[in-house]
Amino acid sequence: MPTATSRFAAFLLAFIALKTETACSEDSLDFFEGQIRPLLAQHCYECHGPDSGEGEGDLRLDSLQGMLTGGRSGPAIVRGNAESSLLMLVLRHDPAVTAMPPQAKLRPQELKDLSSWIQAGAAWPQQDAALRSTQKLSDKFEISEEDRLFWAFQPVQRPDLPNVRDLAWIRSPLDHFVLTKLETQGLRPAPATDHTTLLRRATIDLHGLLPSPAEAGEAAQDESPDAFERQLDRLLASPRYGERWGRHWLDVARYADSNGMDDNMAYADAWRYRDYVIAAFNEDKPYAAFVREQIAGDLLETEHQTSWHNQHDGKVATGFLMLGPKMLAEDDPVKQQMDIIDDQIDTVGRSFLGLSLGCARCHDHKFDPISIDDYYALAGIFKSTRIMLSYRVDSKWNSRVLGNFDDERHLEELEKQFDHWDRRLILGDFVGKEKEKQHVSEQRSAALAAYAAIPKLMAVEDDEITDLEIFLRGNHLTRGQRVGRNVPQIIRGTSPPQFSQENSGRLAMADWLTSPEHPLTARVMANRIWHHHFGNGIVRTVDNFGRLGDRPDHPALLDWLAVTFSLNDPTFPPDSAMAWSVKRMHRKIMNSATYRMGSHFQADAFSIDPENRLLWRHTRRRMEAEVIRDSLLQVGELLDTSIGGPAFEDMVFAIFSSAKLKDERWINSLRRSVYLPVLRSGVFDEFQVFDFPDPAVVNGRRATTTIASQALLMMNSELMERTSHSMAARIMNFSSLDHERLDFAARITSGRSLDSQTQQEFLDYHRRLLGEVTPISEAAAWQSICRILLSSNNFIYVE
Amino acid sequence: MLFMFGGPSHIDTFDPKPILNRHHGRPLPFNGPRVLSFPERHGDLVGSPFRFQQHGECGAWASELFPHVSHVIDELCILKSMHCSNSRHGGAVLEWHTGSDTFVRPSMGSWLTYGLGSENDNLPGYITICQALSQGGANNYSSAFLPATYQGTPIGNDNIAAKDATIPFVGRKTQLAQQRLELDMLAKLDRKSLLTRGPDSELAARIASFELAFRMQTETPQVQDLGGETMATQRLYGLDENVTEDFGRQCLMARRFSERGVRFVQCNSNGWDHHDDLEINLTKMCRSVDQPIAGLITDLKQRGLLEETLVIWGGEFGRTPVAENADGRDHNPHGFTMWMAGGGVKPGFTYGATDDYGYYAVENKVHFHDLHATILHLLGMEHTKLTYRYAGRDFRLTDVAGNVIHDLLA
Repeated sequence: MPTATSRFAAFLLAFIALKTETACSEDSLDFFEGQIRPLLAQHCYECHGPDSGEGEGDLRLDSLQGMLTGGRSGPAIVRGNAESSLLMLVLRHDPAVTAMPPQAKLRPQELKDLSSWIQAGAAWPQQDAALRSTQKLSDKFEISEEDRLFWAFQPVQRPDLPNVRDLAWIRSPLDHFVLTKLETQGLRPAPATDHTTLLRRATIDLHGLLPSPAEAGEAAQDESPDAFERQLDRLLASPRYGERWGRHWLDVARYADSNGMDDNMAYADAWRYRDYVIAAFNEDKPYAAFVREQIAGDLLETEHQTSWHNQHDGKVATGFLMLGPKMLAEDDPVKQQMDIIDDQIDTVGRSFLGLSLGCARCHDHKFDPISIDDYYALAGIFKSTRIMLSYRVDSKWNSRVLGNFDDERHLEELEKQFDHWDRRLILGDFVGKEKEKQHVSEQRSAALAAYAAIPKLMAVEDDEITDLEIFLRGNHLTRGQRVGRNVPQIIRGTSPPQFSQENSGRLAMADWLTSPEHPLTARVMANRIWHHHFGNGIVRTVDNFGRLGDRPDHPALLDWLAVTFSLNDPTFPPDSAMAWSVKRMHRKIMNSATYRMGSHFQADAFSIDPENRLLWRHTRRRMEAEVIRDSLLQVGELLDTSIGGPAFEDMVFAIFSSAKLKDERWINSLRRSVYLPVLRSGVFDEFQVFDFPDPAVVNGRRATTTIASQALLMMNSELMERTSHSMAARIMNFSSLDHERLDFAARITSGRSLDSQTQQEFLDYHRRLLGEVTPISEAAAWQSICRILLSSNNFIYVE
Repeated sequence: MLFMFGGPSHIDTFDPKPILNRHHGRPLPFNGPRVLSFPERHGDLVGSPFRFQQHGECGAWASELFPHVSHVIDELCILKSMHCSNSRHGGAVLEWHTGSDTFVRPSMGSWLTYGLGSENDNLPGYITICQALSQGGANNYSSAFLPATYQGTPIGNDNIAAKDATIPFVGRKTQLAQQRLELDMLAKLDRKSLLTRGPDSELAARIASFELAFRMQTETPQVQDLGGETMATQRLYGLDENVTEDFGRQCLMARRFSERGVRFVQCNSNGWDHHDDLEINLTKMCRSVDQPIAGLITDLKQRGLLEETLVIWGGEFGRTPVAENADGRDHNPHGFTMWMAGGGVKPGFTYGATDDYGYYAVENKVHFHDLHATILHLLGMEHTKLTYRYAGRDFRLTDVAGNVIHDLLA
């Protein structure tokens, strides 16, 4: 981060450079007086002249100094370089900048004159001498004391356990933090929930599925004190766990199997990243390693290869950086690349740090102490990382082979071949040359087929190493000073990462992110874990720990969780194998009394704390889209639990057409939802209506809306038709007695039996259907009952 | 909104360029844009093969491609100086629909329904008929970070004929009588469990949502059923002819939805991207929409609805005055035409101009942001104040730009 002094030094250099080129001839001054000054006066001075005060946008064009200093968008001219001068872009109405004058464009001759004048050094009578070192510096960015003291930037410290009165309630140290706040408010925690509800909650939390009748039966009967702990062991050991928690991370990683945006190309190899994430949760890969791999796995490879479950994990993990939505048809290559880099910065910022770093692309962050220098220091790291093969329209993204070095070279060769034929096909003029066109087209198909046949993955690698200049107002046509690659100053820490010309610096960044002293990494992830167990994070804005995010409801508890997670505390037994274990966090949290509270309503608590920020009860949650679909398939005994694999076949470099996006084979598949393709701008209606997040951006906290189209899905969808039909067969097979069938149906959907009055109402309903709706079969009548139970709040809410 | 997806040529429809015609075959006398997708495909100036004429009392120009619209030209407020920031379909289509060609943002229709609320509880507030799923697809009508209630509800897509297009999940699989009994039983069950678990506003809202869905399921097909319209009305929209039937149906549905309080309806005509064979293709596309559009305006007018309904016509950009390939025109975001009618705009009014060749907007330029600001203004909202806080920032449809064009207001 350049200090004010270094900025001043940069300015002095520029000033000295200026002084050397001030020779103005008589002719050039005549030209100025004859052509340029009248033109400026006529077109510009109304808003940027002597009577305009500071000038619109703080820009005055009635002096050379005004032009060189520029306004809010940076210097208006670069002496001797008309092409790099903002003024010329603006006057030419380049779409990348604000067009001036706003209402009418200058005549071509006027533009030509101005351009020549700037090119010749912008001679302005008696003005060079008047240039002073008082030249306006851009608004200086400074980190204030208040910024430094902001809670999220403080080191994580192990808090003391607060005193509580009702020690009998405590099951885990974390309960102290919750109970003390409740006691201060004169509130009591809700009574513990029963075994059946607890098991349903835990199974949905950890698997995104319902407990089977056998599992529920066992739990209801097991009265031993460690019964629930053993259930947790069972749940955490199942591969269903990674499918559930992997999906949570995929929300954060804005995972998708297609590009979206303009050209919706298939990300045919994205699934390998999805499977990597699922496996990482199942293996309980330490979170620090998980983070490091996603940022710099390709650079870690040699060091870790032997310990990895899958030798390509490192490369696969960097898919995280690759998966963003891209404007593939952007004509301007620099803009295309900077937009891709912006996605990476924004994603890394929100996912790991809970900071909206993307805001600093155009200006210093308005609310958080993140400067535009910080942004371009990070951007340099990603600029030095290869994402695309080039930034021309419809270029291809970088791939790595699942093989050795020779395979890698072969892939590169095929990439070149394919690109060659692809370009020829797109750009060639084949009028009257049908034969040649066919030849080119066949060559292209052959190269594509050979390319597609190689197993490969979307992964980054280091590119040419470079630092970036600041792009003023985020515009790559107006550049400021160059900044060295680095991480944001406010969280750089005591041992900041070192960046060299040897590599992009991703590894240094990854090490810095996962250093136990980092104030945000552990807090942000511990908060995400908590969020998925309680429906709200301790910081409710799980992706924003900045000034405009929420403050933690239980700051000490958050720190206790963060320290417990990263084990950055000498008072804990030094057992590094336990550090950053997500499964260990589940056990800590789920074995607490806090987790086991019921969701009962309490009028007094509700009147004090309607949002349940104090955690006086367990928040009732609606199932997420995938949980709804998977559970429906599960109760219909239709769910296919096979693991992993491609989201689709034969789509290498193919664009999703409307018909393809609506291909019903996918949504009608019986596999778990996490394995269905996630198509940007084509999310399945079944997921969309239940608040599946937009897969283009980081989203760690899904919305929960209640809209009519959800009800329509329950009433009329093929999914409901199929599962209720199959469930009806299942319950009819279970028993020949109506009341037993009904009881079984109620238990497999909601975990509990109906009360006797309701049961009677359903049996009456069953008879009435058979009598009133003609013709209706016995099976169809049971299907109707199944549909009601599956549509009910008892099914869709997690108590 | 009548959206012409692909980018209709302004210099062949509403923006005549006699100098361009005179200089046909000569090179462009000034520099083209800094960035072009395929500069090698660009040739010399090509005049319009279509005849232009002044129409109506206002004397606005339109080419022979829009004979029916020419009859209602006194209702139009024509903007000849539109421009946007992106020369590719994806970017420009997203910029038109959401204000951003770079990021996923809420669509204009979502902002409008967010700002205006709903007038009819039985219908969605924002409907788009047969919209393309390519080039941004659902992002063009998504609510992004606004609550899902403001999401555009698609009726079909560009792959489905308007007569077969429906709202997702609206088709019943059980008999109506059975479904009614089922929903009553469901409500009974849910109300009972609400007694033991509640009070809980979410549980209560979900019970109500099934009743709303039931009504929506009944009402939407009724609105889409055009059989009740007189033959005269159906003919007015061109429903009796194959070539105009599809877009005519969309326009007539739009009137019916709009009458019932749907705040924003978009009709989509897909296929305006004429890189080749412009003369034939443009003629075909114009013919498919001309009568339906004129029918809609005439119908709204005679029902007294035009003054409270804003009609907007246009695509994501216009086309170049220079040839692309042998007989086409390339994308041109630097100057093109859109028009509005009704809803508080000056009728029979033309605003702004492109240069002598129709390449760049030069006079009274109107960016998408400006038109967005103006549209919000016409609907009673101040574009700088219609904001939504997300990820720590207040977002707007117009981001940090946009000026209301007061000259367009009646």
